[in-house]
Amino acid sequence: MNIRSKLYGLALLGLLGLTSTSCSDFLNPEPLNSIDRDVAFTDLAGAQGAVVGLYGNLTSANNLGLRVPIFADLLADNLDHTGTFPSFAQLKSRNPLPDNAELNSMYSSLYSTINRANNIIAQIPNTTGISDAVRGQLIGEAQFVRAYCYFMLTNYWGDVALVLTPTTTPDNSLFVSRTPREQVYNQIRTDLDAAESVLPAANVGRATRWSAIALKSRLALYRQQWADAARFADQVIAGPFTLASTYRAAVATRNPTESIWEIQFDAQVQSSYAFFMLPTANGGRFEMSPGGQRATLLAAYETGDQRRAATISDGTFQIVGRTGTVAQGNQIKYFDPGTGTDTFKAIRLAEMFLNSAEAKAQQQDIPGALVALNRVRTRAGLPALLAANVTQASLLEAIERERRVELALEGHRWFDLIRTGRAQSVLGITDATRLLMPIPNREIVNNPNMKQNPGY
Amino acid sequence: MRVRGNNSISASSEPLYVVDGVPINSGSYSNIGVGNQGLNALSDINPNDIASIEVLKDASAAAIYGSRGANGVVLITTKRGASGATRISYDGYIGTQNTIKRLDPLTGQEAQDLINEARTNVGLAPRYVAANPTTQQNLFSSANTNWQDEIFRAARIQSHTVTMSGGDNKSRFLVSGTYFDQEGIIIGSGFNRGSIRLNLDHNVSDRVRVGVSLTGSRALSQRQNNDNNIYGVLSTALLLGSQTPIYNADGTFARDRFSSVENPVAAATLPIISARNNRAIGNIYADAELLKGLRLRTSLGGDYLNLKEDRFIPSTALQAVGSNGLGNANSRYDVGWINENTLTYNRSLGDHSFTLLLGQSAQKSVQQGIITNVTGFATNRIRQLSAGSVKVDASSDETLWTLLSYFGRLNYNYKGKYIFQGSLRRDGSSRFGVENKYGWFPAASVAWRVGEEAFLQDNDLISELRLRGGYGVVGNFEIGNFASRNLYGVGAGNLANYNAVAGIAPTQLGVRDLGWEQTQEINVGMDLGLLDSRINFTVNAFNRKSNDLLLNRQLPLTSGFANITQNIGDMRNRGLEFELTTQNVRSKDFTWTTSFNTSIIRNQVTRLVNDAPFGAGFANWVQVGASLGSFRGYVVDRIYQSQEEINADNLIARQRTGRTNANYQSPDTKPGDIRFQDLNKNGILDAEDQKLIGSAQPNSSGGITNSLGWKGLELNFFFQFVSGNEIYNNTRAFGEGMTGQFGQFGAVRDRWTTTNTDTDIPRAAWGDPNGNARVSDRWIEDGSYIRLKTATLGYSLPTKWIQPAHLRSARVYIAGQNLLTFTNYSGLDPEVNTFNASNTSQGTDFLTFPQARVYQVGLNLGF
Repeated sequence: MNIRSKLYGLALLGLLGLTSTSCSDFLNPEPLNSIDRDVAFTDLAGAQGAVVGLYGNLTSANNLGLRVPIFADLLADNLDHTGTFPSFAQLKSRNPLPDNAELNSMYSSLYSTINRANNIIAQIPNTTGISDAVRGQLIGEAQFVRAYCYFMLTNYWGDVALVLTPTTTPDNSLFVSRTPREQVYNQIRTDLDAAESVLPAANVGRATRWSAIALKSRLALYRQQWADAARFADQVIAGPFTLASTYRAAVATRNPTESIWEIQFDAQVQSSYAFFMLPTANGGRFEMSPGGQRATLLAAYETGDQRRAATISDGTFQIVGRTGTVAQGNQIKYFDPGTGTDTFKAIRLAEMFLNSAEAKAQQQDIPGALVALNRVRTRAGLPALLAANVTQASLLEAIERERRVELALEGHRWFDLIRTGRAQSVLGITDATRLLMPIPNREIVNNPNMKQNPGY
Repeated sequence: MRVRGNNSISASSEPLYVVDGVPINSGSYSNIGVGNQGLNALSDINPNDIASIEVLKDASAAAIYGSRGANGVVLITTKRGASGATRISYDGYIGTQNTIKRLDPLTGQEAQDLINEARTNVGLAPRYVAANPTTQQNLFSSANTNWQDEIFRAARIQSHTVTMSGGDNKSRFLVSGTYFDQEGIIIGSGFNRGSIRLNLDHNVSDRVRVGVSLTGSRALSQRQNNDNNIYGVLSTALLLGSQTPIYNADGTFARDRFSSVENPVAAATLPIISARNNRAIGNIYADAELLKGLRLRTSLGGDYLNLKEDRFIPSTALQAVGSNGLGNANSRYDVGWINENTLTYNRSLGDHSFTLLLGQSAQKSVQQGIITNVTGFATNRIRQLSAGSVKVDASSDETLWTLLSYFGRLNYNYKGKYIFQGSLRRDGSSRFGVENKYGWFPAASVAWRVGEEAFLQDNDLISELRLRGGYGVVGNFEIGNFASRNLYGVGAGNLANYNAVAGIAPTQLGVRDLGWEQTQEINVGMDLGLLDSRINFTVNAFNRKSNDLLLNRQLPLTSGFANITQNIGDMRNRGLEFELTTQNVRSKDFTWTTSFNTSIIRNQVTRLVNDAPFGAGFANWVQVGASLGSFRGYVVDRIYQSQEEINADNLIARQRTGRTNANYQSPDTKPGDIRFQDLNKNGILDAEDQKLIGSAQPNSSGGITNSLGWKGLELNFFFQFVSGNEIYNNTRAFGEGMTGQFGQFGAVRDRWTTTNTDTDIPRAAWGDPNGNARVSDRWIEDGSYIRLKTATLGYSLPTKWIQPAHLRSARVYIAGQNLLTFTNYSGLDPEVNTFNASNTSQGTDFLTFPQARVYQVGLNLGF
């Protein structure tokens, strides 16, 4: 009897105990791995963290960790597709289907970065406990990164949707339409001008005043605004950077003196260049290589050009701490397939010399162009070109060749050939619609205002 | 397992498993991606302990499990002791498993000839030459390795269980212990599990009963990389060419330097991937009769799971060459508890009897994980992470969900002829938005036992007739724990860190009004027994409508988010189910029973957000008006036989588009390539030239069981069938694509060449410039099959033989599984599904691990 009444008591206690605890507490646990958007930007730590997260998105293999730059080499003639992914094969044959997974991932990652930037630009003005200088710098970094992403988007896809506010609700405001390339360019310029005025002069791996000016130079070059292109390039050349003593040091060491904006990678945040390009024997997956038959990079080097052996293995290159060599014909700019610590040189001083040279040559300033061009040539162990031996046309050709070998595997070649109108003749592309990539098919399906590029 | 078709699009379609009253966690807890072959937490239950399995299919029955019943409920009751003499039994079997089927690969010479042909067809130099190779070429290899034969094996399986049960009229007990050991049919893989069970019931008094059910198990899986992975075992065995030998002359593993694919034998034997699972599931209860007819029952159940995973990949494996060895040590805990309290009142008044149940329950599940990843090992001989130098990842995570429920049920019957049941449940879940935490789940059913009516009493023909009807609403909340929130996350996995500084990043767009997915079902049925129940026939018809489907819908990528979980979309499942059991022969010495069941289910998506369709998996497509599991792709027209045909198409393309260099398909299309149909007739092949080309939903499925007994001999065999479904065979897209270095199947011997033009297999073309291997009806196959799933031949020894050995019973049997398969499907196994956890991407076969054929010999002894 005694036991029984105790059990009654226990059972009733269980019933009452649970019904009387606050239901709202029990059913409203807080997430432990995340925070709500509303509190993300309330303090300095949150604002700074969000900007770190902005750069973090760039490290994706779908972004500056591999695809965004390297496809500009694969679509052109610097890399052959040697691996097994059908989606890479489609890019190499320049006939991608609209559902190409690589283009989809790249497009997705660039817009995801832009949304992170838009959040920062919209929310940090309201963050409290933060100095105006810091606030300005953080917003300026977001403007710079947003400009860079739109530049890459328009380079691959032409007219693209220009989204400048953060996504907050999944409603029909997401049905954006495409903006003419010229307006996208104008927005990039606006962002870069704003960023330039607030960014610091130095900040390893992150946006600086110099990186903003340098990107303005590249933008002006693409828009054929030659005076601007030369002016901004010369401004950076007069800045704190110096060419590394050797080409190998410029491209294969971390943060050399000529690095203007370098994306940082380490074992925890890895890049994928070496993994995708080195042979399996070295721990890569051999997806792309300059050694294949549909890449002509190897033949583009002049005799005596030191950049050749610094870019492509002659069969003797050895990865530090590993046995065996990298077979002849494979790239060695990126050489850590296992832990992905290879950084990506997004903008470096040599490009500024080449921008300056090209812009000046276009303006008939042959001597000025040669000074800039020869800085790059002599560093590579090549003889200087002499004014007596060049015409404007031959000089522009020489600059094109120089850009190809100097900036190989750094994401320039496809864009350079397109902006100069040379892509079809150099690469043998008959159908001009193939100079723009297809908008991912899921965008057409999920957004009634999104129109496909012609020919897809 | 899916009960009555798919009831959700992106939330889970797994039914709720309830073991002795404890809803258990099923699914995979693995943090190590080894392809889509997950671990299954359900495998911790010992089949020998199960007394009964009841599947609650229709919503009026499942409604008492309310919130979680939308996919059906599987009630598992374990065996309990009975009062009387103590009984001991032994159940055991040993067996062997092997592949059902292997695919036919090209020989080494054929593989090399094909690669050369594919390359020269697109203007590239041949890869294999007889002499003077360049750096991009190899000499012809004389190797001819059948990789499937190297990785598959005949594998052992054994199971031993000892059970003891008994008790007196106050206490009853059952204890059991089991050991199960299974080698995988792929070398290096295996699974073993030991488990114990204790079930106790005790009568405190004639009104108060208490009891406990407890099981504990420890399992060890030796796992393999699998599926869509260049380091997987089965995937490499199918996709590494047979021209590669197993070993080099120096005894090291040989690799194909032109392929990223690992040597299959290296993939099977070098990595060590083990998962140790510790599990305890238990339940204690007290049941008291407070007044006559009024009982109070309270129970507390728990489910504790810990999965410890260790992986070590030595620097000799391709996967870890670059990192000099790679190791993980992960641990994941899931601790869930449920408290349930019910009051039951039973009363009979003359011809009326009723039962009223009121109850309340609270449930919580907390999951915690630790993930570590280290590379750069000192030596392959020490596999602990302390031997590695580069700490790639060290992180922990924790998440939880809660569920609070109130429910009531009334059962009423009049003279045992008219039966009514009504129930109402209210569930609150932590996963939903603030405004929509709670959902109502009502249900009602009626039954009329016509057979009990006077006019059918003593009827010679009809022995039982029951008409049933029911309506119920059940729910589904199988979505992310905080899916309604707008979240910022952390960590390298969310791309939030940069240059050794940690940051935060938007990870999830949420909607505040996220709420329950509700399924309404109407079910009518009839049970008919004829000729003294020698013929039993059951038919059910149901119409189930799922509203506010919890859907991971795609957003425009320009938003910065790929998708969002939302209540968007409706779906309908209509079906008929038939069951017929006949006792064909029922004599003293010989019995023969046949049982046949089939279901015909039609599924249709009836609403989506903005009615926008979306793709999933490799070829699946979700679209209003179509069934879930539909496939979409291009449609093969024919093979181009001449350049003139291609030119003619290109001419039309140029006229129609007004672009001088436009091409119908590709500038590189050549004779021997596939011409796909221009469905929208705009002159060029574009994304709009795709249509629905099949569906993974079967027209019908079911099974037939025959049981025959003759004296002590018994024979059972069970055929299972599925008919009218399609499979997207993506394995063939890789193994018959002829686009690169992958090993290819024998079917490509009939490829198009200038001398073999009468074929539907296109030419070999490196890099596939024409897109011959794109998603199209070329890879869609009929997935219908009939399979002899199980067969058992047993013999129970006569009592007079076993009595001298003090045996109560003794039975020996031989049994088999997957013994015969009749199908036109060309893949390894028509029952596979690469994306087995996904509702939207069903029916896809991509390098998926097949089932095994099993032969076993068993013994049951009772003392």
